Amino acid sequence: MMGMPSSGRRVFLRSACKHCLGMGALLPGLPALAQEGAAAAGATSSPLPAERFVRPALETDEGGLWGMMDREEARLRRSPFVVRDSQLSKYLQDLVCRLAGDHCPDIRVHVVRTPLFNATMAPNGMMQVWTGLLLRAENEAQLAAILGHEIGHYLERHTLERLRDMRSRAAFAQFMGLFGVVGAIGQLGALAGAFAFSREHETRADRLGMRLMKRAGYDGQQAAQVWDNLLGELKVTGGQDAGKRSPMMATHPPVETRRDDLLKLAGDASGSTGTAEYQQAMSQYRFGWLQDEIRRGQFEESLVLFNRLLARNAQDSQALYARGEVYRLRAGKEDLQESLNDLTRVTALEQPPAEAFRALGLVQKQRTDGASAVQAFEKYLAVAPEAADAGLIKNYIAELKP
Amino acid sequence: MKYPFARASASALLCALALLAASVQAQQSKNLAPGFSQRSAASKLVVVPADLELFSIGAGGVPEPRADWTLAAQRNVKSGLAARKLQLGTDVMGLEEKDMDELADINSLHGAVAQSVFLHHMVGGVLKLPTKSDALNWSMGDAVKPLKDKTGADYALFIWIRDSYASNERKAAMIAMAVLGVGIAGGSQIGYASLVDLNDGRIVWFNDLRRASGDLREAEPAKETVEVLLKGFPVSP
Amino acid sequence: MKKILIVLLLAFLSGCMSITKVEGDQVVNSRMAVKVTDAWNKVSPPGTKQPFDMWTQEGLTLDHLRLWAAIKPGQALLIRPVGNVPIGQKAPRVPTYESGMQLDQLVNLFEIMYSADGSIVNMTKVEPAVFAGEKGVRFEFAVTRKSDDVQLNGVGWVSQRKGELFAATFIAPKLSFFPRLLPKAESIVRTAQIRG
Repeated sequence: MMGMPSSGRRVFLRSACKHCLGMGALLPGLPALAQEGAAAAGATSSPLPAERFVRPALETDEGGLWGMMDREEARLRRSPFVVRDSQLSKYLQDLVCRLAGDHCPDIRVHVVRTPLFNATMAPNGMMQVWTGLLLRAENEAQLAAILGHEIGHYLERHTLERLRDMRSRAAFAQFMGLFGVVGAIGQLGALAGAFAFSREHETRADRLGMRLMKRAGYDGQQAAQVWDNLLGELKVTGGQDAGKRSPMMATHPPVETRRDDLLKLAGDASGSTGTAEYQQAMSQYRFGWLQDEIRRGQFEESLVLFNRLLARNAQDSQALYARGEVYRLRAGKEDLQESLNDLTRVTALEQPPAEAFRALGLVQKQRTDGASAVQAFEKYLAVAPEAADAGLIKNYIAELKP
Repeated sequence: MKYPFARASASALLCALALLAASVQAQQSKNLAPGFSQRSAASKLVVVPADLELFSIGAGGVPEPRADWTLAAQRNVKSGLAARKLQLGTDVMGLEEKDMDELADINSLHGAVAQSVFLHHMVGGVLKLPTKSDALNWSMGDAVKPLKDKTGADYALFIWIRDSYASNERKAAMIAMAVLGVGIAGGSQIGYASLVDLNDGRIVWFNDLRRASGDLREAEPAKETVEVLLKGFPVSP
Repeated sequence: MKKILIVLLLAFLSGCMSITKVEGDQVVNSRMAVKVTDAWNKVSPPGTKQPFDMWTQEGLTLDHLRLWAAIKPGQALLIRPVGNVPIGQKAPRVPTYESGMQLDQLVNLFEIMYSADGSIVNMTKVEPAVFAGEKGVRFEFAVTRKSDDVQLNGVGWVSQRKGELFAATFIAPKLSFFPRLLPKAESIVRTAQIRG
């Protein structure tokens, strides 16, 4: 039996956050909701545990978990996948502090460059936010909802409860798959799946997150909006009823339910959304994240996202370029025309991204409109003379010119 | 469902046995770079924090990372190394975890190099690279310069171990399966120790560990693992 | 343990790879001849045969030279094992050659190939060039490898003849390895000639 990869450990950790795309559910008990709403609205008691957490003794299972997370955090700190930007870090840390109060010094936020929607929180206070999430959140309130949910898991130590629960059931589950030396390596996936948070944990985290965000002055309805926004993309991967079905086991209720429950928890739409502040904080990185999203090559999902961004702001030149580029890459039946429409529009706006001219040129080239292609390519080179593919584009120009 | 598994298991077991068999037939030269036999006189050695991970194997063979064991192992390996002053030399310094932040690139690069040495040279066999002509001939070149600049050392020692231990459920399963005539492995210990010349980046000495025994969770048995791992470690006169 | 090691071990376990020395005159897929002055190691992983030949100098966790010859339209540049779907996707992205592809689209195929495992790929230079006697493109890129955070540099060449694709890519760690090994890779690529 081979020694196991640290990717096993990493799988173990990642799945501690599978719940993120999953699924909180409401425990039966609408009366609890009403109380919740009232409590949140006029509560004087803090939802936060009074004492900050003390590092547990090493021999305890919690201590062991901390130790492992500390090592994971050291690796993360050094990883080239982490976005190191003091302004962005400060913005996120400040947000965490508004939500977590006195616990804020124990929480460290790391931004990881991965074009997927996810955020995770480890019992030792290590928080990860993936850039795919920062791209999809529309305002500070939505980000506060997600971070608040994660902080909820942290404050109530759900990871530890889950680990303890899993240990006692592990032997039974694994006895089912006794055969196969080689198969053992594949069973790493089974370990990952077993580690999802329970329905109750998800609900509690949603509730606590809601209280934290409202306490910090944010509009609670934005928490529901996050899931509503995601639903569109989920339906592409999982089919039209993805929001209604439970994707895995009975512990994971559907996204639509979660959205509806959060809406009820939120009560009326009061509180700030912080759209301007959020957009300002993300402005330096947003275009790069849009490009990362395009590079995923999951065109249908990307289109849902870009359409949503453009519905919010039709003049969003970055999103308009992104959509035009995806149509160009997908190259379906009507796509070339759609791409042309988008790229023509965006290149007419003020200060479009340089890449838009490149993309327009490629589309025109495809349509055998040589003159228009040359025009767009020359504009591209004028705006971005140091572009990586300047050599190739110059070559296209030479080929297309009569 | 059983038969494909049995077939796969059989060939896997054969290959696994080949893999697990410690390099008993290894001559001294397998561990040493061509032309290298000992460190330069009065040289300085820096010991990089050992990269360890300990796992518990459940009944079905699924490994579960055990952070408490890993942390114990880190302590034990550190003290095991400290007890080997005679072997390591008089001018030895250790790096702390936090020192590794600025050395991340070198560390991850060394990891990739060591894996190739482990697979293509130590395990060898069908995985041998013919162009290497059976020699330990790998170098990180000038990539090691930041490490040399930071520590002033002449050599760096890297240690990596992945260690798994059969849980009680696994042990029970092993007994049950043995009754049926099927052998399934308990735990195993694999790892390497790698000595890098910081003046030219060459890996001058490399030793690997592949066995089904050893226990890093306690101080005394851990000393034994360190001893085996550092067998033949070049002296510095 | 790094994921690569486990994948390689798996490959080893499930059928035992073979590695052979290649030097002198070599032919890729019966359709592209190359001259090898400094010997390389040709790796043949077990299981599904890939549409490229893979050679290495220092080992599979370090560098590789991949060579494609006479890839036909509709053919993938890389065959992914079944069930290997990264999170957040419906299906694995398979870089597939289609007829009529423009040079920028051909380059994009390799971007897809190297980023399929979650690695970050950044094209740093794309310019027209001749490869294997046909007009095509040469590209330089950087890879941040997902499995172990190692940063690699890469260079690639691709061209077409009569609707078939011919290509080569070489990657190695950015520090020390790439600068040292690139000339060896280039010396082979320079000699590439299409046959038939």
